[in-house]
Amino acid sequence: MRVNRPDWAPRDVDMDRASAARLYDFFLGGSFNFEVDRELGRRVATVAPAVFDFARLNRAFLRRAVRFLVSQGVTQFLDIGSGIPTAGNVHEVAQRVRPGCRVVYVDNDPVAVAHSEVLLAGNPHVVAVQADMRDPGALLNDPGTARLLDFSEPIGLLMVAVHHFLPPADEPERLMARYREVLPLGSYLALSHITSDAVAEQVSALVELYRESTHPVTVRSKAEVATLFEGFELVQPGLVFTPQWRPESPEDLDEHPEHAGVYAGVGRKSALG
Amino acid sequence: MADEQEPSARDHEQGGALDPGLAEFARLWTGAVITTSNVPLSRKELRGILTGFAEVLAESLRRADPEAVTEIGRGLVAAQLVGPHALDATLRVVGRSLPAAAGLPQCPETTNQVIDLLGALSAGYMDALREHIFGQQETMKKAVFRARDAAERALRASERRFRTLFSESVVGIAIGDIQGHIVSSNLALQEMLGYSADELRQRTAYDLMPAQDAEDMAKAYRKLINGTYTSLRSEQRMIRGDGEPIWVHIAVTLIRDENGLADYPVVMIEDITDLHLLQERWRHQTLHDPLTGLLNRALFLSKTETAIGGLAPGERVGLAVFGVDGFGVVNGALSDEVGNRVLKTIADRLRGTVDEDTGLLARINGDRFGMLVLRSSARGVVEVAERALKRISEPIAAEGRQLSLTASVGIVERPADRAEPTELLRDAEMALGWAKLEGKAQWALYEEDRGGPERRALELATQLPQALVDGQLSLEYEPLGKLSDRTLAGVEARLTWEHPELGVLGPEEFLAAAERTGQVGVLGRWVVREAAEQAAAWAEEFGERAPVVCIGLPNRQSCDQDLIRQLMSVVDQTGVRPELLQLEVDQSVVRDRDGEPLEALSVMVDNGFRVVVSGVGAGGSGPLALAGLPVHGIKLASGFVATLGDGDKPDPTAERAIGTAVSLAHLAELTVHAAGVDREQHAATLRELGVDVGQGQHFGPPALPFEVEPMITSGTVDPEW
Ligand SMILES: C[S@@+](CC[C@H](N)C(=O)[O-])C[C@H]1O[C@@H](n2cnc3c(N)ncnc32)[C@H](O)[C@@H]1O
Repeated sequence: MRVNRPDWAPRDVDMDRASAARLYDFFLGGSFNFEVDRELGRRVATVAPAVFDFARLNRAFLRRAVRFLVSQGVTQFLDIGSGIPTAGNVHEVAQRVRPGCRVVYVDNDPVAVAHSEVLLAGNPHVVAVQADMRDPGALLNDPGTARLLDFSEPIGLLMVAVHHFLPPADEPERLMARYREVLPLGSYLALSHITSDAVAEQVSALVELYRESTHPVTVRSKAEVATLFEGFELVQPGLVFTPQWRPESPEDLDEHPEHAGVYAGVGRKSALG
Repeated sequence: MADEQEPSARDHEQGGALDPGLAEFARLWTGAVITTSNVPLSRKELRGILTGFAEVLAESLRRADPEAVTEIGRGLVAAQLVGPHALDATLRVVGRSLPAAAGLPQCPETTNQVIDLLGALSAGYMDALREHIFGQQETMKKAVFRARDAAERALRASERRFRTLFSESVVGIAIGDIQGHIVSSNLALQEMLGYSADELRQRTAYDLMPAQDAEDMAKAYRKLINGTYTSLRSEQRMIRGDGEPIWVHIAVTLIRDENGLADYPVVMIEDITDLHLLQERWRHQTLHDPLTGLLNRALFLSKTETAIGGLAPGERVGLAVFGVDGFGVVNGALSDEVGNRVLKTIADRLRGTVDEDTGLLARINGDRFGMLVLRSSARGVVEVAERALKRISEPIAAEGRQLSLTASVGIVERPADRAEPTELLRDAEMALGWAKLEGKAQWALYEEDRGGPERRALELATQLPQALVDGQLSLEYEPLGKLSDRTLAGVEARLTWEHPELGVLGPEEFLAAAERTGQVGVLGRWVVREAAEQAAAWAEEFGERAPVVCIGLPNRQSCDQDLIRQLMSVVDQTGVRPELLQLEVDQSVVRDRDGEPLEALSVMVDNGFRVVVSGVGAGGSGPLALAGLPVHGIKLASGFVATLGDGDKPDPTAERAIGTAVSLAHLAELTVHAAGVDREQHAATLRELGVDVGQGQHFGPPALPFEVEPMITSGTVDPEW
């Protein structure tokens, strides 16, 4: 029993400020967002026009990573920070390659979760859970998670474009240790993270504006992102900019992959961590 | 990574039967659309899908059968190509590259088929896109209610959440009572309909719809209440507070109480007027006149061209334009319905007089109908026209009365090898003018030397060479100002002729004739040289501040092979920097007969000149027309600007049309100029729409070089003297 109310306890829905999930939806061209989000989104786009590419290429990485994991035999996924469902959701991608794949979607944004629930209604292999990744206990013990995932079989843990919403004070490396611990051997971690190693000006302008949202952003260097993979063995090609991660066609790669602004990688848990 | 091969793409690769031209086309298409959407597919998968589509498109193009193409339009939406530019990009690629990829010859026939195909493609796309939007609306709605539901457990937070969703949604939302009264409405709805919340409370939803739509809606709503329908959607018109109709999607959900009885309706309304307009425009550009089912003007012209092209040497064509006498009176005195009835009847009667094999019919505009007669003789055409006039004058029954109307007709008839469709139409319309002058129910045959003002223009044209020598011609410079702050953005060279007998003449009085007589070449060269010299002189004197000088190239000259050579020699001789010269090419000639951009455009750009397409909006130029031209900017025609009207508020349709043109241009990173900005009001509207530069009375009249100089010094069009 908890006595204190930690700051990650489900927040009251805050509609006066833009949220990460709805901003991301806006950048992907979706229409599940509100005027506060669009207003901030437009300002971000003015100072950081590359943000549309950040989002689109990140989303494409997510898709390739899921396909890769399915090809490696993974049939169950835990998608933390899943956002508002848009076309190309994890379960659609996975189930297209292999019907029957199971997915638990987790987000701490109640509106994103409400949206997921609506879209997922009636799909027995998929569930949406409202939880905060900073509370692994609650997240992993949620009845939805427990019902759908079998922790004796490899799991695909997706943490795509979420860690940058955790400030250093949240100690993301420690959190990762906790998640790694519960994952069975042969499980995978797919992770991406915004960086200011390239297009630094645009990224810092973006960070500045995101302060106004419910989800301020922390950027990390390549080395810092790499520490999040501790206990996982990075698969080829390692930690790279999103378009460089196993591109499906040479045309998808242009001369400046670093303009994608986001590092991405997939690691495998191969020994007891 | 062999394990990641996608089945669809692999099929095509191994099938190997695919024609290389089509494969390349599919590759281009994929590249063009993949970044327009958050496509949840790999490039290969998308290419696999588009390859399949390309085969269907190519096949229907070869068979000239656009029907199957509608499905492809829907397929694009199914493939999630729903980003704001996906359709544009597709139309562009298909329009440009499909014919060659399908192995079709470049000819007007092909062009027609491509137009039909693009029309069908976008119709299918729009249709499916609407459904797609509907789906999203529905989800949004459910999420709204779910959010509220969930919140009923934590009431306060949820009430606030619901209210925020309600008040911030872009979709209009109304909550009603069972009778259809509007109990509460959100801001989006109030703005969409132009009523305040209070005003809406005093109305039922039906009060806001045209009678027919209201009746249909009421019927459907009753079925919703008694349970026959579980949900209700409709696409229809509503009438705004200011009387302006808009197109909307409506979705009605009935909230039931614990006992399952109808409690109250929630209505979501989305304004789709723009979508509708876009589709209408395509339909209009590509298909027939919706009222009469006849060809429209654009299609008539292109079919006329094809038909003439198929004639043997020595054969002749005739073209007649019919105009209903006093139609404005009929329409004004009676109702629009009667007017439409009349037009339909006339269309039917005209159909009865032409032979399907040798003639074409079209509604040119308003009450004007065109008729093409192939392998004609002057006598033959006149006979057909007289027969048609007689049929038209038979009484027409409309709304319980018998109307007696007459029509007049202008006729042109000439050998096929001298017949150019737009000229034929123009001459026939001129002849129609003469016929009307002679009284009702007349016909007149076009005669070359009868165009009064025409003849004067021709005479002037012949005097031009001497006038040049005598120094009667000079250039004035019309200031161009930035709309944002009236900074001087350049000047446009304007030819004037101080005629010894006729006084000062503007170019509009003699330029068109000069084009026809071929004088324009000499004149154009003179203008280019004179303007370049002035630009060079200003550059010398004012350095960096020197203004760009715009030169409107006469149409003939734009296509002229010599143009480039001449421009370069002027640059050489005057030492002017090419970027100080802005060359303006009229939109009607920026593409060659095959729809390819004039080669001259890119050569001019490559040589450092600024190039702008002028006359935009003056007709014909749909969204495709300007796409992908290698130019720096566009200039809206003064006629287009004038459509904003004289009122305090700009005409909304014109505003939307201009806004669309501006955003398309800005998308393509083109600067947008506007000509004919005479009114403060127009300047304000254009500024808001994002137009960059304006010219016209609002920025001052054409001026002599010494009057321009203070503007250069002060950097604005309002110099301190
Ligand atoms: C940029 S979106 C990424 C969506 C998706 N993973 C993708 O990459 O396409 C980030 C999501 O993380 C969620 N998020 C941020 N902080 C979180 C936290 N502490 N716990 C759970 N979700 C969080 C946000 O609400 C948002 O939906």
